[in-house]
Amino acid sequence: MRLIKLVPLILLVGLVFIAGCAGVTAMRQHQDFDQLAKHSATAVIMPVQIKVELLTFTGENEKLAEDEARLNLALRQAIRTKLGGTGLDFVTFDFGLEAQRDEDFAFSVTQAHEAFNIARRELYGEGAKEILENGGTFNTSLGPVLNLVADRTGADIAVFVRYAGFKKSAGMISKDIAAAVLIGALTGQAYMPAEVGSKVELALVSTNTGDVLWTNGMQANELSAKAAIQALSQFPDPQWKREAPVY
Amino acid sequence: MCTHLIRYKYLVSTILIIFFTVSCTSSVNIKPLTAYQNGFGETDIEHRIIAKADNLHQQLKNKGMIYRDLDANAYVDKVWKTIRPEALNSNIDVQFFILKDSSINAFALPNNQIYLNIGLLARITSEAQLAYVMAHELAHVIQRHGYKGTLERKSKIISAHISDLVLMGTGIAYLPAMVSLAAFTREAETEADTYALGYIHKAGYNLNQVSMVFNQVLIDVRANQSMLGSIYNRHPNNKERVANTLSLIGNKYNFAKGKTNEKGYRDFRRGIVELNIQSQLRNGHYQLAVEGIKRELASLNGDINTLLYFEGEAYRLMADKPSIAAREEALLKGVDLDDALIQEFHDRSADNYDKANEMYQLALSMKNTSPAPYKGLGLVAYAERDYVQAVLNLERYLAINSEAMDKRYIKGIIRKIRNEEK
Repeated sequence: MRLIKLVPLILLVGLVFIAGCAGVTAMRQHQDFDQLAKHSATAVIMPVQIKVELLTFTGENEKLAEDEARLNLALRQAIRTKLGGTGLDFVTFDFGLEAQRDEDFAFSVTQAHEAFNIARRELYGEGAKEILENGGTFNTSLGPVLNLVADRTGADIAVFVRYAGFKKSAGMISKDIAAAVLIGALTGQAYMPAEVGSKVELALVSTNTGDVLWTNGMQANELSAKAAIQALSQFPDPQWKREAPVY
Repeated sequence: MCTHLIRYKYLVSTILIIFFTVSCTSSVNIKPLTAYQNGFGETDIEHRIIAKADNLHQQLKNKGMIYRDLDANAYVDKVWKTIRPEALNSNIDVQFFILKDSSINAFALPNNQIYLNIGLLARITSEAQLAYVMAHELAHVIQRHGYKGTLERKSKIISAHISDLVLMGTGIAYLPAMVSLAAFTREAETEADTYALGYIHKAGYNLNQVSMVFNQVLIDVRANQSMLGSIYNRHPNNKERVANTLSLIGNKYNFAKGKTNEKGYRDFRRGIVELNIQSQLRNGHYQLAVEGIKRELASLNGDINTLLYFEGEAYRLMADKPSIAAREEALLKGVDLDDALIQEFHDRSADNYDKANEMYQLALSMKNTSPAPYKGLGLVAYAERDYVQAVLNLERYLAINSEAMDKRYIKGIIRKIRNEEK
């Protein structure tokens, strides 16, 4: 199981190697985006799923809690600034406090994340081909899992954020340098892997119908909100409705 | 040519030496928990590992993953008290939690906390089987396999990094480390199996029930281990494991019979089964859900009306999400997930909607005041663009269940239909 835990990190490092500084666009937009936007006026940012780790020489990777906290704030700020600029009103809601008060609510948030993971597979995994054939449009829905979030927060839209990042320890960097020097001496060409990298995914989901309105993902060779800002820069300019329907 | 040959020989020799070195990196000797009077935690590394485990528990709690049914928790506690080995000092506590996770799994953390997934609890059928699963995890805790495993991994990875450098970052050196770690895990699992049999034998449970755990659980895991990420997939080769354990039951314990308590277990798992089916449906395990429901229906466990509704839901979701259904099929059958398989599920959509309707109607024929099947009928009609039937059934659902948790979703669909009709 522990070995399996290493796989996402290896994949992440690999992805950042491949992608380099240039982000890979993965934007998707619901086929009825404009229509859905007309019924949405407010948004809430779901608890950010964030994992930032220091890759160490011992394999005992360390969670970088301070970086996670810093990035959590930066990501929220970037989202509020960009989407708020389009006229969407953000609801401030303390999910942590509510989860402590009510474990059923906490579990409903977990269920929403589970449903979003399934939706991601439809959008980027096995269902991706069909979506690309349709010019990036789709009609994926999470179902009713966000209805309780809508009841408690009053928001029409839930913003999902997944962020994974890594930083290499001095030991790991030294090892990379030594390997690069050896390869360079042998082949005449040296390659130095990235010392830091991150990947972000963002999605706007209707809390009422569960429809995924819009989603995008980006990567960067730094631990910052840069990738999120780049991803959000592709967000369209919808006409949000000022009066949401009464449910 | 000659130079190439020398280089080739050098490379092969180096790889072999590295393979040997990395595989042979030894681990530290750690005493079992029974050797301690007042808990554990002697080194900084162990304190860090315990802190990580505590943190994981807090995360599970914050996610609402811990099942909080008082009766169910009391039942698990009763079994724990029955299997607790006398050699374990009373100052040392072990805690068991039920986790709302549908994967067939149970695991122990280095802070003496053990988690039993609803996916596993829904699959086994007696208290004796539960006792074995708990005893197996307890053995991991007492033998401190989590702590040993972490130290083992650390030493192997450091050796592998150094060796990787010699091999110029090719990554080849990580293979022996992984092989060696897998061997450690297999040894730990076999040891846990052996201790577990001793614990439940002493507690008076029927040891022959252990083979039923293997028959019921491991067969499922073999079919879907990669999807469910089950801990059972890291056990020694399942056939070998069954053979070893059965031979131990026969030779050492002479097929000892004892208590089974199927009735008590049936009552305990009732709520867990429904929760597990809901989780399977959310996670795209539609076929597994159908299999589970059919087992429950065959054994007349649970509320038949609800089970039929869930079966309908499984078919509806297979039709709604053909790519997810195809993914499950690929994992269950060990075949490639390709466009043809996805298309096959697209083609089956109409049939699956029919099956779903059949199940909903069957549920209603048993209890026509039950709201959920009307919702199912409405959602199928909506998917098939039969808007009249869709609105009729969805409104009937809301009329019977005006405080439905998902009323926003249902009203949202009715609104979409009205918009389309305009």
